[in-house]
Amino acid sequence: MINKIPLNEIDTKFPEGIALYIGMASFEERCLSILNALKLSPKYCLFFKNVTAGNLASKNLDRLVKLAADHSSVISLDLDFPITAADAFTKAIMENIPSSPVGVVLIDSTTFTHEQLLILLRVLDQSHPKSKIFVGYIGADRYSTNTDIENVWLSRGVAQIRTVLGYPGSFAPSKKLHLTILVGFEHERAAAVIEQFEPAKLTLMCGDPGQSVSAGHYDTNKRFFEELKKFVERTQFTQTAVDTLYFSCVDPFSARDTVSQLSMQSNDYNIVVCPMNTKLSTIGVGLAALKDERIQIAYARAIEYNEVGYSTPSDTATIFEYS
Amino acid sequence: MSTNPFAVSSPEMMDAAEMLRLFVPLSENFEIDSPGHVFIHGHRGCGKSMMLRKMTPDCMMLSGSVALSELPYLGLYATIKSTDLDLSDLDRISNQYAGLILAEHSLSLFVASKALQSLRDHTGLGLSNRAAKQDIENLCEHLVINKLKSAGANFHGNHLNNSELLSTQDVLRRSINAIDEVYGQMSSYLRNIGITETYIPYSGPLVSYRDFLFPLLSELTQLECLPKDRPVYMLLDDADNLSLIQTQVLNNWVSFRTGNKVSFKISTQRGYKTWRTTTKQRIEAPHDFKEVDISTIYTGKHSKAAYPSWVEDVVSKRLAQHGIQVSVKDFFPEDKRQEEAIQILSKKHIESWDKEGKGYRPGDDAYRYARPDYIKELGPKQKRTYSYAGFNQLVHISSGIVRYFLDNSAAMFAEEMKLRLVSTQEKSGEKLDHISPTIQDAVVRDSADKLFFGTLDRLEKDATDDGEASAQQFRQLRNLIQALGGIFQLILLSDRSERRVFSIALSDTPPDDVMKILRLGVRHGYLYEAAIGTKEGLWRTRRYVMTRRLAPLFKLDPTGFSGYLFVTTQLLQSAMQNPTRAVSDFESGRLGKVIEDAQLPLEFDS
Repeated sequence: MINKIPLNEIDTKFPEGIALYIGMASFEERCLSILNALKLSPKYCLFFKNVTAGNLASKNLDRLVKLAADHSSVISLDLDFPITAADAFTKAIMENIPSSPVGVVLIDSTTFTHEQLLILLRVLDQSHPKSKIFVGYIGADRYSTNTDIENVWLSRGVAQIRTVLGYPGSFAPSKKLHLTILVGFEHERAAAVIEQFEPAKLTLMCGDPGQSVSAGHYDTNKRFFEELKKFVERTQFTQTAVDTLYFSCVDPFSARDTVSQLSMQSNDYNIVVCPMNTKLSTIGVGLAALKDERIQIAYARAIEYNEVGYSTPSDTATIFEYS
Repeated sequence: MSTNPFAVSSPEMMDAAEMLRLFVPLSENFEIDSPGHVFIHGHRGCGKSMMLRKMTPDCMMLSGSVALSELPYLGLYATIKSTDLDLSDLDRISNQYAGLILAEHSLSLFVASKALQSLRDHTGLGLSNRAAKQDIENLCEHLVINKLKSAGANFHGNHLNNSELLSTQDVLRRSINAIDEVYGQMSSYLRNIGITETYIPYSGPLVSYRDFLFPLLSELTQLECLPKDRPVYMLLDDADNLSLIQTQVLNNWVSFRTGNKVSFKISTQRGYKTWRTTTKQRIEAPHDFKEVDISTIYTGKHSKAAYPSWVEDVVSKRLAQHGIQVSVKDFFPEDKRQEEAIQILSKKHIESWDKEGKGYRPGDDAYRYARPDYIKELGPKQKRTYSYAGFNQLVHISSGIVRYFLDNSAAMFAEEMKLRLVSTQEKSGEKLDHISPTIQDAVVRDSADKLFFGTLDRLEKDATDDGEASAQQFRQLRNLIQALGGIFQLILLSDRSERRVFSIALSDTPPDDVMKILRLGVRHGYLYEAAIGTKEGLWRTRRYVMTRRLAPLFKLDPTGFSGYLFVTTQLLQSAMQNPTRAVSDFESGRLGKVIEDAQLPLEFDS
């Protein structure tokens, strides 16, 4: 069940307290929101950080460590090496979430990259922890705070398009490709993905107006979605079948069901899904792929993020039980 | 979605009839249809895929009106997409022997499946008879099903010789499914190993090139229904999408020199990961394979007229297919006022030729100087801007890559449609009969900006991830291009007798670090490489042509060049470090020399 609650009421969801908090230090202020709001400190905190993180992320990491008092560890992840990320997650989980229950584990999904978050979910899936695992997410109140609405940008460029570790899909060489993109606040990366895959079938998914983080976010999402549609219209491979679909940006289980249904209707295709919207919808894609091994998840790693004005945190949190 | 005549079709998804409607052969076929392994290099969109797809039986039968068994070879097409084979999970075992074995296994199965698909999809009705079915059935039973079984596959009821299989298509479908099933076992294995450090042995079936793929492909040449005793060409499109270890495996296959029976025709977008085999041996041309570079249609002997007329044919076919009955020059009109002004300048050159002429004929001077003079008159700040409209200019700007022409045209078409819909409320069914010069100009300028700023920014920031070059080296490439553009502009605006310069030739041998930047420019399409005789005429040296897609950025005349700039290492090093200083040094005569060589082919001159 999905709970969207004011951030200052987050403790009410964890009456037994939190045994372990897992979060990612980031240049975004949002990485602090949940830990900051918890009145009862978690017994232990695991903070991940990217090895190439800049000053803003380092400062935020210091603040996270301070909030955890002496009860924390910091683990570095390298964006370029998913395998080392998977190993780091596995080690952290084995050491901190043993097979016997330790209490509630809260994963703050807000500022992991989509790829890292998916790998973390896959590791959890494989390790079958007995603890109750909750996932938290803080939406953004505003994105791209340093630009006007017309020039919103969150990330630029595509460093690499690769499959997400743990989600290779089950491809049959004889089948054609069905690419699904959950469009977010950028169309350049999405366009690069389409060019790279040259799919036989393309599904462009836009956040449902009634299931978006906010009306303003929906408008921005819709604008980028239309931009991408224009790109497809202009450059589409003439035999590509294109359809469009809505999905939930705020409910991972709903997003999961949408993707699962899409996959079931595409039995004759190899399926690649590229999540580029909220972390909640990315979790939904991950859940769908864990259930249906035919789904391959692709990730387009950005070259540059709008570190200065990426987002401002909202004052509501989404919490749901993962396990 | 509306239909845009310039939308790009993936040859993989086109049928033979559409292929023949849209395909225009290049002026040079590079002899890739002779037996032997061939690597075909070329930037994305230069026509490699079309070239390969055209070699499949359905296209060959339709264009030559010949029967399947009469074809000179059996071409089987397989495109490799980015995450078909190159999976992050394979990295877990890429340094282990298991990684090598699985790379060979997966590539063998992948190519076998694609080969049978191509046989099914690209032979028209050539296999629709009882004898052919029997032949294919026997072959698949022995060389697919039984081979996979002996490799450890456990099929339940996958027999080919049962009465349910009514046609050759059924037999092939069943065989393809069998291969896919074995392939799927490897995917399941990968899913388990990717995420964990714990060693998990692979226990599924294993096949290789020598014991599975080669026997299957070579035996096809023994069937009466197929071109008997003639070679099989495995047409592998976009081999850059293989992982490093898969590339090494493919190189193993190339090193076997089985060209008389099975030849690989492999296309790359210049990003082929290695020329070494799994045993670290290099495969080399011409011993192991032949290498062709389609970009030479831009710099080679056919560049003068063949490429423009090829593009004209491609575009004419597309316009006609969409019911647009106008010539390409009418569809992409020039800026009339500009061309009239250039005509006046041409006349002046012709009239003054007998007193001040520099060329051999009056027309030479008119052609060489009228357009540069016009650009010069506009001045460096160009209050009234030069227009890059007109079919001829657009062809030159596309720099030998037809995809660039089509992409720009698609964007122009969409813009023009949008404008007309807004201004006249016309229905979308209305046929456009031309693209306005203003829109043509705006689109190519925008493309030039994206190429220089967007793409290079990305490459620079991507550098740490890429490994092929550092961010610093991409900055040096940007500086070099900026300096060359600046120098070419200076030359164009000068009073030199030859002002249309777009290329440099090396007058000495630069050190490795400089050569690396030049190669980086070629790899990413900013420069094209060719050779030219040295000033002394003793030997030949390297020549680099800057892509004319950047002409609008540097306010250059894209329609031709007659001279080239002989440069020293000193100029190149200066340009890579400080482009402003390099331009200024050139201006003050300290670096570089423009050669006005009447012997030089006037590439693209018309």
